[in-house]
Amino acid sequence: MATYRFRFEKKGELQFISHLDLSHAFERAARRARVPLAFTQGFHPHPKIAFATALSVGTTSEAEYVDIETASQVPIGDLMEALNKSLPAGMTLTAGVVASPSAKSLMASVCVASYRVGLSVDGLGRSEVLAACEALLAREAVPVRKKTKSGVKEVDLRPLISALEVSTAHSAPGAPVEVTMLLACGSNGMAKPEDVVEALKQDGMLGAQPRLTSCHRTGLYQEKPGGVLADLFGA
Amino acid sequence: MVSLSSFTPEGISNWLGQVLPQVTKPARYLGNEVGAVHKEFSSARITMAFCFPDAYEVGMSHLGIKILYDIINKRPELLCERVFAPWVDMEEAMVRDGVPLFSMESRHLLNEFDVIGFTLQYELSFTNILNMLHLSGVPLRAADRQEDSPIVVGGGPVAYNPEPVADFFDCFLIGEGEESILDFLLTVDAWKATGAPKARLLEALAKVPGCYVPSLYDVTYGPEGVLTSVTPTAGWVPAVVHKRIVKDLNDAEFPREFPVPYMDIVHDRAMVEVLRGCGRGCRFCQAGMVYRPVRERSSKSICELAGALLESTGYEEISLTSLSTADHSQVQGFLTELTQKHGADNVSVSLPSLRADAFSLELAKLAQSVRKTGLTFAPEAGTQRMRDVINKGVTEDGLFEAVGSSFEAGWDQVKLYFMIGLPTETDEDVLAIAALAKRAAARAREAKRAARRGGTVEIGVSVSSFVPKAHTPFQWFPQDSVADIERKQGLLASVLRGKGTPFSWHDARTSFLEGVFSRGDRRLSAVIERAWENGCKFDGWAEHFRYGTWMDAFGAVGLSPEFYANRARGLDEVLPWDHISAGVSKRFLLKEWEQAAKAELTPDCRSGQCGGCGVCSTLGAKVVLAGGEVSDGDV
Repeated sequence: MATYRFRFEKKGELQFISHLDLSHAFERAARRARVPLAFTQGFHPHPKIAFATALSVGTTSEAEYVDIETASQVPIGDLMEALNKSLPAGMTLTAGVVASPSAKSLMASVCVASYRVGLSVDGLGRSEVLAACEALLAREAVPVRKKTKSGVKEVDLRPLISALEVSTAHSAPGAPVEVTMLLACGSNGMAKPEDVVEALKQDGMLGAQPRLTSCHRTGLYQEKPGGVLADLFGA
Repeated sequence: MVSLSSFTPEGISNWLGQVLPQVTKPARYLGNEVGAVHKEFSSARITMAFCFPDAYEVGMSHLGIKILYDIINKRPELLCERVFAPWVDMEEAMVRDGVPLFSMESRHLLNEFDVIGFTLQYELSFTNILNMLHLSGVPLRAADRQEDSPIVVGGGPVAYNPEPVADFFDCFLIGEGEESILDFLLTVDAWKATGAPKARLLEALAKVPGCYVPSLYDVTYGPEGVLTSVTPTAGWVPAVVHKRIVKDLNDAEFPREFPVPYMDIVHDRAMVEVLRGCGRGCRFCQAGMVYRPVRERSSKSICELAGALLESTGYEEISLTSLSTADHSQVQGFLTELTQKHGADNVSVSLPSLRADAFSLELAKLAQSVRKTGLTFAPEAGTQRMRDVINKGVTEDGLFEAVGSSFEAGWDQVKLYFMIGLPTETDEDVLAIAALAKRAAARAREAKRAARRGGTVEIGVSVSSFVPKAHTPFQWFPQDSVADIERKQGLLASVLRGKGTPFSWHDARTSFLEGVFSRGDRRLSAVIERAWENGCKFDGWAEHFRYGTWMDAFGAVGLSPEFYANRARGLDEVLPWDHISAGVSKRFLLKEWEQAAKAELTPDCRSGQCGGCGVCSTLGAKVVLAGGEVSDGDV
């Protein structure tokens, strides 16, 4: 019995498959690669493959994580190679560790996610976006309406935004402005880039239709003692 | 704004990049699944766009497309790519931006392919066929196409009566496609090299066994609108087109891999076809008539294919598919071997709907040792008399034994399938369905108590409306009217109240429309076109089915749907599908029709007692059982 923790990327058109699709794709790739998967007991045994947090459809990522539990030990290099051969194009394991038996689950560990997005604001440019972001960050509270499974609820976004920065690169007029964000992503709250865009739209400083032209997750982090952020490998 | 001049694959990919975030289930349009075949488009001499006229999640569940996709793509000089009907939101975006229909794998436009093929699985997909042709820029009617339009070919079960859509196709491949698809494509290949006009191709195709070219037949109608003749336009055009079959399933190519979808589809599992055909001869069943004779795959081949498929796909479930898997002469053997071999990997083996007898239940228990799924049995009728009329050899004792054992063995729910609207049916027969279900529920409760299992029992009662089909003994029978069916559904609903026997039924109007087309003729093409023009599509989806628009189309064209569905056909009438043969003689069907009226049974043809349907002698075929052959009787 062993658990292996991998970081992987999800790129290209695979951004359009859902999180559930992703987990099926992983299971099937593992079977094709003849990975000796460990299974749950009970009426509907399923493989012990766990993720940190769902990635929205339409978002690419270079830093997703998965824990795979196996029934017997396998050299991690072989496992990575076999899985990478069998995973669909667009999904690649980029790093891996043998998880310690006492490691916290991915889902319990993750608390913050970083994103790099392209924000399109008709007719406006970098300086307007910068001003709008600064204004947003200066607010005490940022209520937005969020669609949930059980309806629509109002959430205060402000405490969920740890950072909101506009890239220093100059962008041509009309081209999307690059923005990076650090957003809560765990058991004490979840915010997505679309929520931030919705808040900027509500503030009215960026015209009627600010929208994401691209959305890329650059990291998932846990909080270590002292408030330091670390990737999800450190147990 | 997307550049509309770029209809290259790259242009379409760019366009998709912008549109996919806006549509539901974008995974429907990706085309890069593991197992998808990506070949260099220009490397193939003949390219075929295989169109399934429904959404991705329906089409990807279909076995036929997997078989033909594999057969064609294994040949380096041929190429086959998949096309599914774009969902309504994707179509809206395509129309808005002027993007024509494109294939999944390479995103080439359909009108760049040599051949566009459609599988005709059910009548309510006809408007989707027209819609896909329209989105491809291909003229709907074969007669309106240019010399360089792709050849439009159809196949599948509905091609046994293709007449309502005959005007939209250049040709049909009747019967099993493993060999005929290659004959067809090679004929197209040879013709293309000559540069001769398309008329020469159609002539060559008419000479390919199993290939039906509708434009080479004249159809005449009598004063009352009844068909009077279907005549070849030339002496060398066959008067009857016989279906193709694969004589021995073990010799037929079967895929060892196929595209594995990312998203959930209707039947999300690996599949091995264990046998083709069914010898039971249930009189309502078109599949049982047209897939004759019974041909079993050997156990060795089944197990080997199953292993190969699980390895290449990584699927967690494999389905042993056929019309009646429990009837395979070696089923216990291969089922045991498969569950033992793959159970350790937590791969479950599933069987399609079972016959209602105890033996089938033993198989179900074996199959479900890994993971339990629902159990269904199909008694089809509520009284023994009615079951004998349809030649469904299920007895009440057999059914209750199976039901009792299911609940003893650990199931808490079982579903029973029935039909109403069958020939000679009375209200008593209808009410007997409810009585049967209730007795089954009582038996189930007893069984559970005896096994010391607590909890409730559920016997689901699913009742569909009988649609008479071409090439069956009931092909002359006037279908029950919508009003009759609804009245009978009401009868059942009133007695099936209460928990324990949840009742589900099919919309009678959908069945009515199906009935019109399943025994329709060429004049209906105008109705289909009109209905499509007025917005009908995805007719098989309840939320899109527009009965009113269909009825308006009939009215506008001046045809009566009741003429096709509810009229008792004369026994010596020329039927619109008489020139297409499944190998089963009309004489046999008439005899079976008479047997039905007397509620007399006809034995299973695999029992050695040949019923004289004629398929073996007509096609030079035999029943092939895995343990040895049954002689090809000829009565």
